[in-house]
Amino acid sequence: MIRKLAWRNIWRNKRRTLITLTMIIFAVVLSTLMMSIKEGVYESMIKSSAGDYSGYAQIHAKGYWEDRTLETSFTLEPELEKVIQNHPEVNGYMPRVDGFALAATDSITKGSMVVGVDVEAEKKYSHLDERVSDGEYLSPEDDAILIGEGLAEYLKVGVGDTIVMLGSGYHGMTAVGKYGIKGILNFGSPELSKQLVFLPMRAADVFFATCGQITTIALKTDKPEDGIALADALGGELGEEYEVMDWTELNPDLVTLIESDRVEGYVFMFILYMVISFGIFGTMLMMMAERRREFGVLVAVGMKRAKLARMVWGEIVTLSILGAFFGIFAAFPVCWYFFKYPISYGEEISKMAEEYGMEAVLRASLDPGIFIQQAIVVGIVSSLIALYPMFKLLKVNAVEEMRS
Amino acid sequence: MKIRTLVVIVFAGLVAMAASTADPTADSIIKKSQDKFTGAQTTASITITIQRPKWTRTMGIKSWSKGTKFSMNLITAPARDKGTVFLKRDKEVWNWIPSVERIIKLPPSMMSQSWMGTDLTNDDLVRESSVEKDFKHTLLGKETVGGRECYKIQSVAKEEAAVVWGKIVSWIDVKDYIQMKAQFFDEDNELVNTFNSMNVKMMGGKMIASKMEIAPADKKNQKTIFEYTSLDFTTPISDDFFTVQNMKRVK
Amino acid sequence: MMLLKVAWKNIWRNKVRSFVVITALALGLWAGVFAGAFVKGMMQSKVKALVHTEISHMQIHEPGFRDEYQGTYVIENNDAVIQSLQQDERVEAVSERLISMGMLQSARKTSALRLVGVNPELEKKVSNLHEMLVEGSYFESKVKRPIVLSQKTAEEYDIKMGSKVVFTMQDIHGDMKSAVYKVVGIYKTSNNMYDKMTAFVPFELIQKMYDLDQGSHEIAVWLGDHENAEPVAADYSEKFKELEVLPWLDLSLGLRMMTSAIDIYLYVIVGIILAALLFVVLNTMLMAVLERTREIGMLMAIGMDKARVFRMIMYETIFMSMVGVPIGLFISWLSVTVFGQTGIDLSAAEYENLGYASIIYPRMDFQSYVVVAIMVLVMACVASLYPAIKALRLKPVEAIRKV
Repeated sequence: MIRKLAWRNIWRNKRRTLITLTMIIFAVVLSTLMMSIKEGVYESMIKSSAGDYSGYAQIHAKGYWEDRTLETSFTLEPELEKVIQNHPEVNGYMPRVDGFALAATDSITKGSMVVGVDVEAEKKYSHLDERVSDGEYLSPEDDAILIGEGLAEYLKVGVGDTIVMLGSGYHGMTAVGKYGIKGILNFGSPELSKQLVFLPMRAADVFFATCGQITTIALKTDKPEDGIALADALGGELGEEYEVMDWTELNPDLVTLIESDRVEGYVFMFILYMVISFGIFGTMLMMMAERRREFGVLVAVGMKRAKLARMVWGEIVTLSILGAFFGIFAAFPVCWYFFKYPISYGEEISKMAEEYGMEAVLRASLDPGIFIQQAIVVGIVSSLIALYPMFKLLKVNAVEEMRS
Repeated sequence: MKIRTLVVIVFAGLVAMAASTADPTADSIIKKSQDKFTGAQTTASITITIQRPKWTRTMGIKSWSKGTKFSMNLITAPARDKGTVFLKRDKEVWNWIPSVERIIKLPPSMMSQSWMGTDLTNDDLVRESSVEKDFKHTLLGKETVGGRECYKIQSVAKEEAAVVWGKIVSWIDVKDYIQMKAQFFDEDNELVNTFNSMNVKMMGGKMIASKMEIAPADKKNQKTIFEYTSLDFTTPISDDFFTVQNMKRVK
Repeated sequence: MMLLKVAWKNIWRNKVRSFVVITALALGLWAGVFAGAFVKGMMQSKVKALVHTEISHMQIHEPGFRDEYQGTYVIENNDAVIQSLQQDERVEAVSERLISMGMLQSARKTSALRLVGVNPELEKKVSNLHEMLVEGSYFESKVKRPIVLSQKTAEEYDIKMGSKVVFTMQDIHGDMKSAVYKVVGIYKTSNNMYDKMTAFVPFELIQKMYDLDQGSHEIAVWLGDHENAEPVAADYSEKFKELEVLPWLDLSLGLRMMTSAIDIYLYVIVGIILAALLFVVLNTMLMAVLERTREIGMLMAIGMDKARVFRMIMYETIFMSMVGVPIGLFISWLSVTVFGQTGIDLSAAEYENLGYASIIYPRMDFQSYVVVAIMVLVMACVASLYPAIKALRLKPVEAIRKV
C-alpha cells in the first residue's frame, strides 16, 4: 500500500520529481566525469611510460633486475615461447639484449645503452620504425645501427657515418665493433635520445658475444591490469631461473606518482560531493516544506507517522535509484565526448608531450566500473540524505502543518 | 678488487737489489722491494688468467715499459682481441683497436671501468704506486713463505693518505727482496685481497717470482693470475717507441 | 521602494526556501575557493618536493658545464653574482658549489661518482638534503676530511659510517688527483639514480683538489615564491649575459611539461566543481521559484503586474546572494586560513617515497576571492532568470488553484 502511494506521489507532481531527479542525475554525471578524467590521465601516463616500449610485463633471468649485466641472461627457447603464446592476452613479445658500450668517433666518445632487438617484432609491437626521423629502419641482417637524435648530435654524426662501439661483453669479453648509422631515432625524452643505440639481434650477438642469449622479453598486453595478471601467471609457470615483473615493479616511481595523485583527487571529490549533496539535500528540504500541508492532512486523517516517514523515504529512495540509473546513461555520452575529443593541452605543451611520446591531451576513461561505482555512491548518498526529512516527519504536528 | 699497489710491479718488473744490510729497516725493505729503476726499461711477455666461478679466460700480453711514465701493452691472445694495444703516456691512456681501425683516447670518466674485463681498472694502469710514502712500515719479524725466509712487514695507511687500505701485511724474501705474499686489509681490519707469488726463478738476469695471483677474500673461486713467460731488462727502448703512431705498428 | 521591502520580507518569510538558497550559494562559493586554494597549495607542495632536494628554484652555470661536467667550466665572477643575488628581495637564499665527475673507491669497489663541494650552512637553506640523513650528521662532526654519501652508495661500496674512501679526479691542469675522505653522514632520497651518483664534501676541499683559487661551478638559488623563478632567471640572464641562468622548469627534463600539464588538469577538475555549483544553484533557484506558484498567482491576482513580479523575484535573488556570498566568503577564508596553518595531512598517500611533504597548505590570494564571489553572484542571478520568466507565464487563476 505504501509503495503504491509512494510511487503515485512521485508521478503526481511531475515538475518537482523532475527537478529532484535531474539533481541526482547531474550529480552522477559530474562525479563520473571527474573520476573518468582522472583515470584517463593515469591510463595515459601508464601507457606512455610503460606501454609501448617497455611493455606491461617483462621476463628476465632471475636476478637480472638487480645487477643488470649480460651475465644474467637466458636463451629464448621454443618451450618458453610456447608458454608465452599460450596466453591470449599477450599481444606481442619482444626479445632484447640490453648492454652498455662506449660510442666513439675519432674525437668524441660517449657512454650509451646498446639494445639488440628483434627487428620485425619491434616494428610490429613497439612501432620502433615509426620513430625513425632520418634514414631508414633496420633489417634483421644488417650490421648497422639506429641511434637517438641526442646521441647523434653529441657525436656530431649523421646517417651514413660510422662509429665504433667499445664495451664489455659476455664473460668479460671485449665488445668491439664498427657500425654504420642507418637511421636516427626520435625519442622525445632527451635522456633516452642521448643514450640509445639499436642493433639487430644477430649483430648484437656478435658484438656482445652473448651466444644467442638475451636479457629481456618485453610483453605487450592491452591493458596495464592484464600485464599484472600476466606477470603473476607466468611467474608461476616459468620456474626458478626466471623472474617476471609487471610494470608496477618496473616503474615504481610512476606508481607512487599516481597513487599520491589519487589521494589528492579524493579531496576534490570530497568538495564535489559536498556541493552535490547539498544540492540534493536542499531539493529535498524544499520539497518537504512545500508538502507540509499534505503531510499534515495525512496524519490528521489517521496515517501513522512512521508509515508516512517510510512512504516519503520510499519516494526519495526510488528517485535516487532512478536518478542513479539514468545518470549512468547520461554520463556516458559526456565521457565519450571527452574520450573522442580530449581536452588539449595547448600548443606548446602538446609539442613537448608528443616528443615524450605522451598524448598531449586529457582523455576520459571509459571504464564501466567508474560509471557504476559513481552511480552507486550517489544513490547511497542521496538515500542517506533522505533520512533527515524522514526523521522530521516523525515529529509532524498535523494541525500546525495544515495551517501553513 | 683492488690491486693497485701491484700494477706497477706487474708491468714494470720486479727487481732484486744487490746489497742487503744485516738488519734492514722496514722502510728500506719496502723500498727495495718496490724499487723500480727510473730510466730502466722492461720488455716482457705475460699471460693473464681470469678465473671466475662459471668461466675462465686467458689473455696473452706483450709489454714494454720505461720508468713509470711510459708503458705499451699489446694483446697477443685470444684471437678476438689480438692486436689491441694500450699506450700509457704519463696520465693519459690510449687504445688502438685493429678490428675497427680506431684509436680511442680514454676519457677520465672511463677510468673506473674494468680493463679488458680483468679485475684491473683503466685507472690502475695509470696510477703510480704510493706504498712507500703513504704507509708507515713496521718490521714484525721473519716468517717462511713458499719455502723462503721472509721479512714480515706491517704497513699501516697514514691518516691523510689517499689509499683505500687500512693496512697491508707483506712477506718479503730476505735474499732477493721478492714480495712472496701480501694481505690487504680494509680499515676495519677485514681481509679484502690476498696476493701470492710463486715460481721464483731467474729471468732476464734477475731473481723474480714469475707467477703471481690475487684472490679476493670474500669471493669463492675467483682469482686473477699473472705469469711472466719472458722478461728482458737490458734491451734499451727509446722514448719514441711510446707514441700514438707506434701503437699501430707494434708487434 | 515598496518592492524592495516586499522582496526582503519575502526572504525571511519562507525560511526553508531561503535557507536552502543562501546555503547553496555560500557552500558553492566555499567549494570554488577551497578547491582553488587546495590546488595552489598542492602545486606549491609538488614543486617544492621536486626541486627542494636536488635543483632548487634557479641555477647559474658557465655555459657548457652541464654537458659533461668538465671542471674547467668555472664561473669566474661568482662573487659578483652572489652579491647581486643576495641583495634581491625575491631571493631567500644562495649557495655555491664546486662539482667534479670522478672516481670513488673503497676497498671493494670502484665506480664513477659526482662529488659536490658545498658550504653546509648555505646549502641547508637552498636544499633540504640535510633533512634526509639516515645516519650521521651533515658536516657537524670534527672530522678533517668528511664526506656525506647515499645509502645506496654505502651499500654498493660495502662501506659505512667512518669508512674511508678515495676520490680521484682531474684538476684544472688536467692532472689526476686523489684524496681520502671519511664518511660522516649517510643520506637517502627517493631518487635512486641521484643517490647512486652523488656525494658531498666541504667546498674548500674540492677547491684544493681542483687547484682553484676562486670561482664555482654552480650557483643555486632559493626564492620566496617558486612562481618568480622565470622572471628572476630572465633578469639575471640579462644582467650576466655570459652565464647560463635557468629556472627550475628548465633544469630537469620534463618538469616544465609536467607542471603545465598538471595546471590544466587541475583547471578541469575545478571546472567540474564549478559546474556542479552552477547546477546546484540553478536547480535550487528553479525549485524555489516554482514552488511559489500559488503565491505568485495570488500576487498577480491582486494586481501586481508581471514586470514587478519579475523584478521582485530578481531582488530576492540579489538579497539572498548578498547574505549568502559574505557568509560563503567568511567560511572560505576561515577554512583556507585554518588549513593553511595546520595543513591537510595526506599521509595516507605514499608521498614519502617521492620525497614529498604529505601536508598541503591551501592558500588563496585576495583577487581570487573576489573573482569567485562575483562569479557566484552572477551565477545566482542568471540561474534565477529562467524560473522567474517561467513564473511570469502563469495564469493567476490556475496558479491559485495549484496545490
